[in-house]
Amino acid sequence: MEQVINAIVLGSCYCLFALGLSLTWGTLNVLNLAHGAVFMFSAFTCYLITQRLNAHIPLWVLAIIAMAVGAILELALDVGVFRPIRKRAKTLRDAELAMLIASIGAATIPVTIAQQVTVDSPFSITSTAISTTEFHFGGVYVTTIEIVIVAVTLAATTALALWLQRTRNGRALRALAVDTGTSGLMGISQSRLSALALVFSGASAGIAGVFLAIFLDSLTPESGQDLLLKAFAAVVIGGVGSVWGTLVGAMILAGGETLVSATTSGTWTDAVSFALIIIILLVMPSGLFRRLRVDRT
Amino acid sequence: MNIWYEAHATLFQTTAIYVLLALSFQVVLKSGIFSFASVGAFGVGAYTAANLATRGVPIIVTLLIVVVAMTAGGYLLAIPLMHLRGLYLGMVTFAIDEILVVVATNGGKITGGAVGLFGVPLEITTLGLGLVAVIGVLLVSQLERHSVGRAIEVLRGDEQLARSVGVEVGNYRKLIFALSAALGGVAGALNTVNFSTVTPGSFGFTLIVAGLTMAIVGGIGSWRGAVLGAIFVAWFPAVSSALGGYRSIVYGVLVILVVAYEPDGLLGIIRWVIRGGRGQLARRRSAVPAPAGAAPATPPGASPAASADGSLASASELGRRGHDATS
Amino acid sequence: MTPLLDVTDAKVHFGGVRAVDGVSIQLQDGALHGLVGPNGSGKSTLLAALSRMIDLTDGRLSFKGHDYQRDSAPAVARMGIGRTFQAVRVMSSRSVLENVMLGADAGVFGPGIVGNWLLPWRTRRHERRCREMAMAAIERLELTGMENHLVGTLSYGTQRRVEIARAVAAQPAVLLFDEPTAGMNRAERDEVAEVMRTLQAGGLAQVLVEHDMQMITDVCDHVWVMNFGKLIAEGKPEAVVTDPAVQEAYLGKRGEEDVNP
Repeated sequence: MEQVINAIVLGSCYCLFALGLSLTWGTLNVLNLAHGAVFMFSAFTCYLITQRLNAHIPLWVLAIIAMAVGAILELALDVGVFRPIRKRAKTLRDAELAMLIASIGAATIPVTIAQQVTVDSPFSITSTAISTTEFHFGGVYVTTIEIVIVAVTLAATTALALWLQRTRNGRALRALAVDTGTSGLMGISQSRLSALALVFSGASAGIAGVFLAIFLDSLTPESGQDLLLKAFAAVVIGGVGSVWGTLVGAMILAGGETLVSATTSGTWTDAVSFALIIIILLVMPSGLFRRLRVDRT
Repeated sequence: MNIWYEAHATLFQTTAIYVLLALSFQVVLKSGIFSFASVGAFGVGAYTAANLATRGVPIIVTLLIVVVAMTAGGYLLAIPLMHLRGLYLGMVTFAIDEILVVVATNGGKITGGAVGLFGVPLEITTLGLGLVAVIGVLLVSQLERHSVGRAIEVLRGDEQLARSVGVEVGNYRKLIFALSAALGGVAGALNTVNFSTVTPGSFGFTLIVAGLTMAIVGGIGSWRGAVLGAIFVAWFPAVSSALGGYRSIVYGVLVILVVAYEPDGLLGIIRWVIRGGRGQLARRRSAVPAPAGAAPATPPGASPAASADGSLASASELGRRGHDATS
Repeated sequence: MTPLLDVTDAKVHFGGVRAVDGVSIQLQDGALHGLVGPNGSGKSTLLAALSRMIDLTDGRLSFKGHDYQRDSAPAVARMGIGRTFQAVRVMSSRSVLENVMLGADAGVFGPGIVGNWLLPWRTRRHERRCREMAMAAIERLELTGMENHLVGTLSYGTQRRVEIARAVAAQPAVLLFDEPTAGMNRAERDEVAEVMRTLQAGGLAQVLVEHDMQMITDVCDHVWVMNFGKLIAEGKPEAVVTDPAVQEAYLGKRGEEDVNP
C-alpha cells in the first residue's frame, strides 16, 4: 500500500513535468529536449537559495520561484531559439528537427552551469522548511508534501484541460496543432500563443523540479535528461495532445516502475519507460486517448 | 610534425570512428528517416567486438560478422518500424537504444555489467581506422549519385511523387536503415578494439546527442557534412580546452546558431563562402521553391543572373542541399 | 482490340463514403480522353486509383491485359502508366535535366543501392540511357536549352512542362493528368493543350481530369462524366455537354466550370 502511495506521488511528478512537454509537442510541433534541463535548473535555483540563505523558506515560496525560473527559461528558449528557426525553416519537418537539435544545444547551458557549481555531486532540497505532518489512512502514512504534490498535479491538469477547451487562447492553441492558419484568422498571434504555451511549460517543469527534489531527495545535473524519456513515455501512452492522457500515462508509468523496482533488483526500472514507448508506438500509436492532431507525420 | 601527430593520435582515431557514426546518422536523416538506431548498433558492435577480440578473433572477421549481423538485423527491424514517421520513429529507436543500455548494464559476464569490459586486445591501427572510415565514405557517397541519389532526394520530401516515378520507397528505406545500422555497428566495434574498453555508458543518450549533432551541424545534405561534423565534434574539446568546463556552453550555443541560421550546416556555410557570399544571397532570394498549395503563385520572375550561373551540369556530384521544397 | 487500359466496376469506398462506385471505362491506345465531373464526383479519386496511389475496394484494373489492381504504385509507374499532380511537384533546387532524369529512371531498370556499389559499369550505362531519354523528353516538351536551369527559378507554366517532361521521359504508354491547368491563365492553358496534342500525335494515350470544359472540348476525343462516384455519361465532348443528365449534375455549379479566363 505504501508502494501505491509512492507510485501515485511519483506519477504526479511525472505528470507535472510531462504536461509541458505534451503541450508544446501537441500544439507547436516542438519536442523540447531542453525541458529536462529547465526542470533541473529550477530545482537547482531553489537549492542554491535554501543553501545560501540558510533559512526556512516555505514551500509555496520555493514553488513560485521555481515556476518563475522555469517560465523565464522556456520563454527565452522560445524567443531566442524556436522562433528564429520557425521563421527560417522551409518545411515543418525541417523545423522540427532543427528545434530538436537546438533544444539539445540549449540544454547544455543550464546543465553545464549546474555541473560546474555542484562539481557534479547530487543536490537536494531538504524539506526542513515544510512541516511534515503525517496522516494515517488505514495504517498507511502519508506526508503533507505528498498530498500537496498530488493536489497540485490534479489542479494543474484540470486547469490546463479546461483552459485548452474553454478559453479563446486555449482553443486557438489547439487550432495551431491542426492548421497553422486558423489561429491567425482568429486574431491571435502565433508568437503570443507559443509564448503562453512555453510559459506554462516552464512553470510546470519548475514546480515539478521542486517537488521531485524534495520527494526523491537527490537530483543531479543530469536528472532532467533521464526524466525526458519518461515524460515522453507518459505522453505517448496517453496520446499526444491529450491532457488527461498525460496524467493517465504518467500514473501507468510510475506504477509500472514501482512494480518493477519492488520485484526485481531495481536496475531494470528504467527499462519500463523504454519498453512502454516501443510497445505503445508499435501497437497503439495514438495512445489511449484520442489524439489532438489529425495527421502526425 | 611527427610529434604533433603522435600527441593527437587519439584525436585522429576518434575522428575516424566519429566519421562512421556521423555517416550512420547522415544517411538516414537525409532520407527523411529519423532513426537513432545506429547508436544501438554501435553498442551491439562494441560488445560483440569485445567478446570476439578477447577470444582471439581477427579484427577483419569481427568486422565482417558485425556488418552482416547489423545489416540483417537492421533490415528486419526496419520492417515494423518503417510505418512510423518523424519524431515517433526517433523516439522508438531512442527507446530501443536505451533498453540496450539497460541490457548491457545487467548483462552479467557477457557485457561485464555496469562496469563493462576491459583489456580488449588492441587490434587496429590509426591507419586502419582511417581506411575503414574512407570505405564508409565511399559507400555513402555512392548514394548521392545517379538514379539512387535522385530517388533518395525525392523520397525524403515527397513520398507520393517518388512512388509515381517508380521508386520503391519501402525498399529504399529499409536498405538505408540497414546501412545505418551497419555503419554504427562497425563504429562501435572499432571503438572497442581501438580503446580497449567498452562500457554501458559508451553508447546511449550521450552518443545519440553526439551523433545527431555531428550530422546536423555538419550538414545532412551530403557525406561531406558528416565528415565536417565529425571533425567538429571530435576536435572541439581539444581546441577549446582553454574554456575549461564551460566549453560545453560554447558548444551548445554554436549548435543553436548553426541550426537556426544555416540549416545546411557547416557544409552550407563553406559552400556559401566558396561561392562568394553576396552572389549566393541573390540567387537564394530568386530561387523560390515551387508552391504545393492549390492556389499556386508564380515565382517572382526568373532573374537572368540566376539562370546564367545556374549551370550545374555536374550538380549531381555536389550533393547540394537535401531539401525538397515540395512537402 | 484489347483496350490499353480497362477498368471494370471500380469501387473506392472510404468507410461510408462511396467516392467511386462501380465505374467501368476503357482507354484505347493513342486516345486522349477527358474525365470530368463536379467537385466531389470522384474523378480525382478514380485517377488516384488508376495510378495505384489508393487501393480499390472492389473491381479490376487492367493494363495491356494484365490485372494490376494489386500492384504497387512504383511497379505501375515502371510498367508504363505515368501521371502528373494537381499542384506542380518538382525538385526545385535541382536542374531541369535532373528532374526529368528522375522520371526517366522509371523507364530504365536501375541497379538500386547495392547495384550502385557492386556494378559501376551497369550504373554508368543506365545513367547514359537515362540522360538520353531525358534529353529526348526535354526536346519533345520544347525545353531545350534550359536543361541546367534550376527548376525553382522557372515560371509556373514552365515548371508544369518540366513535370510533364518528367512523366514522358520514361516513355509510358499512358499518361494521367490531374487538373494540370489549375491556376493558369488562358495562354498557359493553351500551351498545355498544345503539348497534349503533340504527345497524342506521337502515339501516347492520355487521360485528362479537368474542370475547364473549354480545354476538354479542345483536346479530347472522348469524355467520361462522373457524379457521386458513378459514370453518368460518356461520348464526344459536344454530345456530352448537351446531355441533360450532365447539365443537371452541373446545375448550380456552372460558374466555376464555364469560366474562360
